Amino acid sequence: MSAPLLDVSDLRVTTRDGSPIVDGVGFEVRAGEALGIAGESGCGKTTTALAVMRLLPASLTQTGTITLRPENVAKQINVGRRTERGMQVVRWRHVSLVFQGAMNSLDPVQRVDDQIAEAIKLHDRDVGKGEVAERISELMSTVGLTAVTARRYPHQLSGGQRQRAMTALALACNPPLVIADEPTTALDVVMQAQVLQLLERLRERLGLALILISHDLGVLAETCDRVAIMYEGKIVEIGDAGQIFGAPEHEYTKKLLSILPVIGGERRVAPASSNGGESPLIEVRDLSVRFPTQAGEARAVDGVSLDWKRGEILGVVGESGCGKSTTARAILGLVEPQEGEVLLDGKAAEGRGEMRDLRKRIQMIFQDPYQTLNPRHRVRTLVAEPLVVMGIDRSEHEARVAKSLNDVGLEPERFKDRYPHQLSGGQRQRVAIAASLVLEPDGLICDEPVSMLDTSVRAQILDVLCGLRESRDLGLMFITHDLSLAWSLCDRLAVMYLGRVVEQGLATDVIERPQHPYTQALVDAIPVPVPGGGGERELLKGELPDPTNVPQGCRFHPRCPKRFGPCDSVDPGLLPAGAKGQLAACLLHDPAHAGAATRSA
Amino acid sequence: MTGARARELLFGSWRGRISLSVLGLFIFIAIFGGALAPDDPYASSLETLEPPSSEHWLGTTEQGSDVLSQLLVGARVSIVVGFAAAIISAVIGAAVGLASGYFGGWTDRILDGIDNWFLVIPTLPLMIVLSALLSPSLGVLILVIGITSWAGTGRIVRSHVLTLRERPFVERAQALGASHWHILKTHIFPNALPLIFANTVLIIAIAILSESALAFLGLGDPTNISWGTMLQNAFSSGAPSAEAWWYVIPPGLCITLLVLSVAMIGYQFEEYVNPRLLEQHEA
Repeated sequence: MSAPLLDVSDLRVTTRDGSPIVDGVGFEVRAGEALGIAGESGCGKTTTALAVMRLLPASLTQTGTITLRPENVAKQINVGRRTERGMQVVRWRHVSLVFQGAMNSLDPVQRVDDQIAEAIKLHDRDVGKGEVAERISELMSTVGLTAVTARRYPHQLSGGQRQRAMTALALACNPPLVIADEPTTALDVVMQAQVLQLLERLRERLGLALILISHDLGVLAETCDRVAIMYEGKIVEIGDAGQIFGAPEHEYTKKLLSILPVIGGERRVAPASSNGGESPLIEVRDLSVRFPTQAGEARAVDGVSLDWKRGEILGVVGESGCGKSTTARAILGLVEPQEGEVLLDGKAAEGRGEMRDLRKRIQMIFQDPYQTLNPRHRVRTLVAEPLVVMGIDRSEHEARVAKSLNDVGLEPERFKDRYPHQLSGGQRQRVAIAASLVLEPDGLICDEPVSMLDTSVRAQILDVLCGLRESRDLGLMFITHDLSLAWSLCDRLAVMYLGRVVEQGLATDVIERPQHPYTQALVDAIPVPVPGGGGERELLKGELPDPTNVPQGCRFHPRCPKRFGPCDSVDPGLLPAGAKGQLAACLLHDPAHAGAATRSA
Repeated sequence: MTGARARELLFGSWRGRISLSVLGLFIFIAIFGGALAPDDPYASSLETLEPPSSEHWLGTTEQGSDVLSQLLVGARVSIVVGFAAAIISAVIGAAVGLASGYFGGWTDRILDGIDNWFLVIPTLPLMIVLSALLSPSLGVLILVIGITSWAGTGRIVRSHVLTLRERPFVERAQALGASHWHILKTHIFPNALPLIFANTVLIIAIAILSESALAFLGLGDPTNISWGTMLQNAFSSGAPSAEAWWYVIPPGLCITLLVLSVAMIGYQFEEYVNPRLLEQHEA
């Protein structure tokens, strides 16, 4: 057995005041192998990756040995002993990095192909112009981008295209090892699955070794041969993916795995006790929101109808850009709908008074707890703000703030005088929830409330939210792109595509037996925390079309694997399909057209 | 934390400490200058343009007045004009910037147009014209400098408010149905305040210089002695050609020191404000 490609032993990274960020980490990566590093934010996984390339800021000290043994190099490379100049040669040629956040890692004023050319030329001065162009077009086809896309500027690319461009950039100098730092975090399920598939193919075709860093265990299970779990700067467990996911030994690994919702496993919440017959808290009727853009009118929400019953957890899922957040904002009057109406208890929320009533009874919590709290206010001011806005008597404030904080599991005495920066991410989100509860609303709209939080904190926040449903009969509208989460949490589910609800029904029905091809595709794209769980699945091609240019007929037909005759001309409405109460907007369920489908098939 | 950080920047660095002491000294002189002056600064005598002596430490003017006494008394005008004009400029600039950035639309187009107009118009000629039209007095001077120097503040505050307006905590407040007044008061203004403050400190320096320039051009308040009027008198009486350096250098040096110390404090504050701005752009 040959020596491993990368050998890291006893790696330590400390800050100036001596506190360790990475505390004695050791692992090896063989040629062509994929190693996954998982852990919560702050566990040192990104720092470890940067240390391998010696890209840490000067304020951090790095010790330990890191050895690279690329095949085409006679001597092994000792990363720790190299001069800065010597490292510049190593970076990108022998090990490259796909940075976190493809959005910010590409230079906005340079065309994509020029950025790749830059990387090639930096490492090979003698390379000719034609050769560079050839190399770029080869790289572009490797990652599945066209030559036209390569000539564009980063802002003209979609999120998925940027991620591909970043990957092409990392491959520019043909390195034997690529480190990918959270390559799929900002992407939604379909895009995530596409990127993972790309990485998988690259490994097969180019024999790349890969270090994949992610907080999402499902992602690692699908792509990695071996997985390391990091906690507080140490690797607590490392082993074959099969062993880690099948028979974890360390308590922390077990805990991480147990938190992960698995479809078909145990649901977090028992379905709402009372079903049907109850009057909806909020009804959305034929809502349309359009934004003027330079390319024309964007139909962000295009005829959405929803029922949100009292005490119900309604999930709204879909890819980013499908209009789910805009729908929520329109309910609260944050954007003005062009058509349709929002009814609270069956009454249209139109006048000032009704709107005020609605805003009192329906509250919203946002995705990013670091951004929703004004940094200049103390917790008690933040939580009391809705009371001030609604003009509630000052004498009541303190008691109500204290009650709210108690409800989300924060001791009022300890937390009320703190500023947001003195709180952890989970505590901030709790404060945001407390502020939403202080008016004792009937419904809470949660826009991706946990997507920015770590797995364990995520579980706590979900517990708080579900507990409120139990104790206060609070209805939740849960907007998310995470289908496994929606499955384990929601009573009912609405799946949105390009501004329209394409399927709805009981969450268990919709996810377990999807009736719309789009829902099916979403479900297929969910990473499964079982090694190789993805298997050979068929992924949706392409990306969400531009909402300024909605396709004729069924809006999903250009990407639909099951399209047939009338799909490009007939726009289907929601039709009964599958289980009782389940609806899908697909011509396959229309008796008038379904016959044609079977005939053409 | 924020207050501690500001304190650290001001008192924790030599630049901050020296600037603060110099400014403190000048403020002390501005308050007590009249009492400290050894002579009546307005009194004329026959000892004209005398070089420094034990009797007149900084020599005498062309009228035979004591230069040191004029210098001590003149500090008040510079400081009062500097601070008062900067406050006027900050109030106008902040109001225009907040309204323009927050409300957007036509409000923005109109206010931003006015702002642009004030930005591109040559300030000194405008000040000269304004103070020539209005009869020179301390109040007029302050007003003229104040209304010609707010445009920069307005522009910076506007662009900061544009980013603040998109922050989720503002959207959250909107979701609560909060009024514009509430959002401006509790969310926008407190977050823009450090920026307004840092900018205002820099404007103090500009205002002091403007006052000196106007006074030097003979557009100052004739009833008050300021460092600018001292320079003007020195030049019109031919002090430089008479090599009466004691008449020219002290007021010039005082203007330089005061402006420098205020500007340094302003830069310290900018260091405090800017990293936060960076953070917000990243997010």
